[in-house]
Amino acid sequence: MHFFAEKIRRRQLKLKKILNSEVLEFVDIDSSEFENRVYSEDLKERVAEEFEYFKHRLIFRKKYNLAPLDSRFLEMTDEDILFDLMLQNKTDEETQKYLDKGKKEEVLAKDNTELFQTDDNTMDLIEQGTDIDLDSLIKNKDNWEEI
Amino acid sequence: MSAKVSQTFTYNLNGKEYSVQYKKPTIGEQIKIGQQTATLKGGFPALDPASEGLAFKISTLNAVIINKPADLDFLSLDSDNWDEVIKMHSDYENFAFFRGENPQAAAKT
Repeated sequence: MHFFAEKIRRRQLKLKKILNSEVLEFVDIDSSEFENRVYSEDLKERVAEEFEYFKHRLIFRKKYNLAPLDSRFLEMTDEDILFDLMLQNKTDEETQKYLDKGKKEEVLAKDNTELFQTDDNTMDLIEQGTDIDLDSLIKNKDNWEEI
Repeated sequence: MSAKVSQTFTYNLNGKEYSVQYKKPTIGEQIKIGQQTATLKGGFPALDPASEGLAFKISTLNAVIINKPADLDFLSLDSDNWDEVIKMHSDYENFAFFRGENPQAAAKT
């Protein structure tokens, strides 16, 4: 009984050794050699072709973070994909325009706000350091909230 | 999204009339077309361009006909019907890729 157990243990050790050496050999593969083995010229050509003709599909998948075999992607036609991308592009453009317009109006509103009723003469006096009652220059003083 | 459907086309295959409509294939169906073409070509180391084209056309028609009659089997058709099959594929291509003005809109103007 002991003899057979020892025999099995030895065989297992031998198998483990072989397996380890195989795995190590695989891991030790030089990256360029690996590239030559896996990425043939044919594959590179296919990638270039896929990118040339189906760029819109790749953009769509990237935009919505979809896997190549995602059913939501597989159930779209090319026309649907192009329509969606064009619509999204238009929406982005219009949103940006709207935001820019809002910013411009905000800047204009800020520039046109006059808190003090001043003229060149008053400004000269302020610059010279003359003591001026600023309260008297405030516009629409009645509308101001009292603190 | 709803699939766009073509008008009805009528063809004569094996002495029988078939009315079919086409749709634009989804990405999944396009993959299926490629797989079916590869299956049809499988086993032949080299095919002549005509046979290769016919394999692709049959695979495409199998995927894009929406109301395909049960008794319409492209693989069982003999060579006399191949012209009609090529015409079918050409009609599908005209619908899918070279769609002209909408006939209803054209009638209004």
